[in-house]
Amino acid sequence: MTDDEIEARLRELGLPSPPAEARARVLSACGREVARRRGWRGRPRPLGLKLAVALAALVAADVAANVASNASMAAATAPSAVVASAPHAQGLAEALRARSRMVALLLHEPSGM
Amino acid sequence: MGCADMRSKPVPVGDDLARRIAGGDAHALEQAYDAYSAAVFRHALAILGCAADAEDVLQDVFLKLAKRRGGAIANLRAYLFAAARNEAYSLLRRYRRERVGLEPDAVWSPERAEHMDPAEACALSRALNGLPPEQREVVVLKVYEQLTFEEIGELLNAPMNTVASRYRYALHKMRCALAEANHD
Repeated sequence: MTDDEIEARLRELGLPSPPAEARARVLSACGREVARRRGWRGRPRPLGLKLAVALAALVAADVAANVASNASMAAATAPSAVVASAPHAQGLAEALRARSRMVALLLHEPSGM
Repeated sequence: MGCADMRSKPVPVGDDLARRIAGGDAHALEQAYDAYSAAVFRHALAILGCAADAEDVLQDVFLKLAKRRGGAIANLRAYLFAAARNEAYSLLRRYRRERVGLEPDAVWSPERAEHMDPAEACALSRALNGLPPEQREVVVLKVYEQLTFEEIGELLNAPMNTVASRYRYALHKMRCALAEANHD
């Protein structure tokens, strides 16, 4: 028997298909999942989630401030040629000095900068 | 059954269907089920050799599709085939680990072949059921889903030559099994 003949016989043997009742079962399970997702989207966020989002925002702001601070420190200690080539770092350093002055003013202490 | 019926029905709106499913469109999910469930079921059955397990895989695959979030699916048919394969092999590995015996005779039953000689249908069915899952999978994808060796290779993440070899070995084994059955 050749390969083609075996293939032809296999096709003749027929294809198994999922039972008809599987359709209702699968689609009903999927429908419940879709409804659950829709319900979750429309529901107000619980307090814990709100707090977690607020905390994440605070952490992100702190990280951003640290990065800016490090960049400005690097700019302040770098050779003038490097600083001149990075004007945004100078800007950050200036912002940091302004912030220090503001903090000193609030604390009624000399800024020292 | 004609060849045209064997291949998965084309999806009417292309892969826009996947985007609609991700958006929670239940009708799109029904369309995807009608177009691809038979192919997903057959693929799982070819690997697992058990209709009940193949049904479980079918449900898991479509549930995952309904739950899915994130990036767009470029090719829904390829996605479903790959998902069915992953689920089926994961189940097969679990069975092997737990040493659960499978019933390979349940893969294809000769009752479906109305126009064939019952003895021949039985011999062919046994020959197909006797193949290892990796070879049976390639035979099913090639003969019933009419995929090319290249497409099967992409799906199985295997070189095209490896796929072609598996197919040749499978047909050789089947030929031997059929010859043996004719002698008996």
